[in-house]
Amino acid sequence: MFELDQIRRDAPTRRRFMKLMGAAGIGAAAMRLVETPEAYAADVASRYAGGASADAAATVSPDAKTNHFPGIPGRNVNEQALNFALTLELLEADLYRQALNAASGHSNSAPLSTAPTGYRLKVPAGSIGAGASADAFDYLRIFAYVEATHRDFLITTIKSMGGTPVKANPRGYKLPPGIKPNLSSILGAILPLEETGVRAYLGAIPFVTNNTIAQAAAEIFSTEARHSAVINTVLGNDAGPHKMAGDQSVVPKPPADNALEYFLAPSVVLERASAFFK
Amino acid sequence: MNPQKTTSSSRRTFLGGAAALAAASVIPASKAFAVSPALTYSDIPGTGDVKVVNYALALEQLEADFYHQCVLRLTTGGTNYLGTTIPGLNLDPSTHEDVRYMIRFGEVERLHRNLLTSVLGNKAIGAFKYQFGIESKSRQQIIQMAADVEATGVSAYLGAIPFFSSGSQYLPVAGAIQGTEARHTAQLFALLNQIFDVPLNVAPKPYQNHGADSPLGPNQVLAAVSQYIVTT
Repeated sequence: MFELDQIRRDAPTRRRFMKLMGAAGIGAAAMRLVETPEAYAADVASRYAGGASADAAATVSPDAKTNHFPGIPGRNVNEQALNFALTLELLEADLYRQALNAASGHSNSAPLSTAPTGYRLKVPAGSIGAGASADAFDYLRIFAYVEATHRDFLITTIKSMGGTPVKANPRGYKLPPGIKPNLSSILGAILPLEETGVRAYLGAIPFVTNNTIAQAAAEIFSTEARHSAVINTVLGNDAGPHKMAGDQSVVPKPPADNALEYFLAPSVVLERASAFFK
Repeated sequence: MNPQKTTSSSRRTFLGGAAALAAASVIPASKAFAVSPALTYSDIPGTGDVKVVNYALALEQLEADFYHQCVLRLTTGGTNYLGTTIPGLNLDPSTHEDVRYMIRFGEVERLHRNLLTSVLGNKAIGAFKYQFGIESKSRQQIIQMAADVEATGVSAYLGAIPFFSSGSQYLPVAGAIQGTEARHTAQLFALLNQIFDVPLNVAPKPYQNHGADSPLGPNQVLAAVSQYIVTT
């Protein structure tokens, strides 16, 4: 048997073991293809069923030492977790917009075009092979819209629950310095955001006391894992997961470096994210 | 952990529950060897979190054996645990990136299976034997099937989350596996695109489930995979 020492050490002590919906709820949740973020957000909110205000066990601790999402607003830990996720998605969506502008020869301040077809690769491929540059640009183009959709979904979900979504940093976000005007350099700057996003969701999910919210978060989590995998490989890296600085494992002795995703504590994620804040 | 280890009596015990159910079979008539009617979540042994982890283990057992058979087919050939001869396509891993990935992903799935088996100890579900028809599949069909199996794994982990107790200690482990299978899924679809010019489909599009992976309930997943599970 294993002990989740790391998770347990951080786990909320007043976690209530709510019995959520049984098999009946699952049928409705399955195969939600081609729908609006609003419809799904309303679905999450309805399944959450008033728990946001009534869920005393999920109340944010007034003690800063046991506040798992420091500085993140929310009436309870579940709303905090969603706002934590939104904090990252706001950042990711905006940096993808900037990266896509850079790769397409658009002005840095240009808003995301109404359709992905508005972008064409206008910079050299860099270290990416000629045969892979079209796919690599497609990743940048499509993932930019996917991250914007994640952002909008979280805003809608938090509002549907009666909460207040966090706002984007008023001064905006900045890509790391030293990016060269080529596709591999631009994707290399985006990759740490995706990899950190994966670790952020896995680190946040243990604090969520509502499995509907956990499920919604996990749906975004594994999408970011997919993004990370293919960006890694067009850049010539292994698809992962691979251990990076500060990574924590969900088991004390991982069976291999590439068998399980890693996580980071929310406070660590927020510190790293702040480096991209203007 | 070796699928051959499973005794027929443990399979019968496990399948006893399935036989009692009146669910309609989803098994094509041509696959008379498959378990019928399809397994459902009620057939998975245990209760609460143990049942959910056993469900995950059943899928990892299937994935591990699937990759085992795929790698036999792609490389030197061999025999699956049912005694079916699998002729090798004799592809050299050193010159075929997809074969290298298949070998590596297969190792990872075995590690997932072993991890969940050790988590459950004596409560672990017994292994089945599986017939995937690998012996007659092409290289492209195998990579496509692997991509589909991994994608089903991702959706299965998502669909299992509501069955865990709230704040379950197993949830982060399940998530860590789910994310890994998502990486496998994306990479396999990227390989299909690079090698066979299959349309690029590495991750959900913005209009699919708000740009995020979709859950599949246990009964849907078990209905889909039961066609590969052999009863006799």
